[in-house]
Amino acid sequence: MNESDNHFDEQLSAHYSKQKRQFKAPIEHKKYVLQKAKRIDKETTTNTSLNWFAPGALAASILVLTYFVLIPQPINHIPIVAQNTYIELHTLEMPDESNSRALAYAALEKEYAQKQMITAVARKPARLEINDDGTWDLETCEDDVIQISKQLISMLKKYDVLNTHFNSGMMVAISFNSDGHITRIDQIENPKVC
Amino acid sequence: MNLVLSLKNLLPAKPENEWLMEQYRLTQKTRFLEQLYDACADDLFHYMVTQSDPTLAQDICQKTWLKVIEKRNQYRPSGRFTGWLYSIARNQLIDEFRRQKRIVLKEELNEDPFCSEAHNTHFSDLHEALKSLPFFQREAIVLQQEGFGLQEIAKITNEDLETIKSRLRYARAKLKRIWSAEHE
Repeated sequence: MNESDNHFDEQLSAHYSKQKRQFKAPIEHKKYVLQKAKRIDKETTTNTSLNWFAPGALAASILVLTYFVLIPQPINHIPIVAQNTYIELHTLEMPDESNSRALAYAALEKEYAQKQMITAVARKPARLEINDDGTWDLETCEDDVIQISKQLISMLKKYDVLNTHFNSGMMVAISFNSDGHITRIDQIENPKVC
Repeated sequence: MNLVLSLKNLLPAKPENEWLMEQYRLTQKTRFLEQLYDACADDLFHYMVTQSDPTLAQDICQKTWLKVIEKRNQYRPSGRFTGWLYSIARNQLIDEFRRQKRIVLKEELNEDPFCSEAHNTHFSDLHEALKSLPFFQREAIVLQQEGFGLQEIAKITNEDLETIKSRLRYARAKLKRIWSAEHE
């Protein structure tokens, strides 16, 4: 790196620091965030007090747990979709009901076949859940869910968008193009990426 | 001068962000979160402004801090707190762009560092100079200016090291061209 580069780097850092000083986070945001945190702090303290002074609740919990352990219960698939979760459906054809959170791929099959869908602009890590009906749920670090239909999975496998053996619970990286369509899904090694 | 240094050593050192977050996770006490907010909020806001606009930046920053509260029990001090914070913010921003289907995320492959569309941009207005960069290049150079190393930037952006190096190279070349034009 020559003197000119060093001088440029110094100027860049100086201008950057100067620019940063012009931007301050809004004061009202701090108040809102701390109010929210205090509410949760209060709930946590209240819960701690209740547990300390309610041994009966603990005994009742043990009895209920024993009931569920000793008496066989039907196994239900517990969906990973929680309340107020943003869900996006990826499928071959647009669903009948109006769904602004759905993306259809049937019209893009030609691009996939000709490998024209390879331009990814974003990648997101997610946890994969393979459902009993063959659909996939991909839960992102923000607790949003991307649902992929069985037919779309078949198409994506056919065109090597999914070219690894996938298991439930696996961490994957989803690549998207600028329209939000999936261009690739890869396994990632780090399970603690969120 | 020695007296000033001695007095400075007597003052309690500013707590590290990682320690503050760990204390917040363990004790759930808001005062630790407040110190984290005071230490990091302005820089986070500036990062978001460089990647979007002030209105969206405000929205994303607020959501980010709420996510920090929500995920406080999942925090592990394996890296810098700011890396974790910026990663959450970036993911929130990308999600918002996808919901709005904004085309600004278009990756420019085969980037030509000598393209001339920024010829009216002045380096002295660094904000505008940064805006002339494509999203991912701007992001990489901003994160570098924020003090993150290459590995940290790769982790925040979920990209490999070579991609980050490439983006920084192109970004730096473009900014230097703007700077050189003013200093010829």
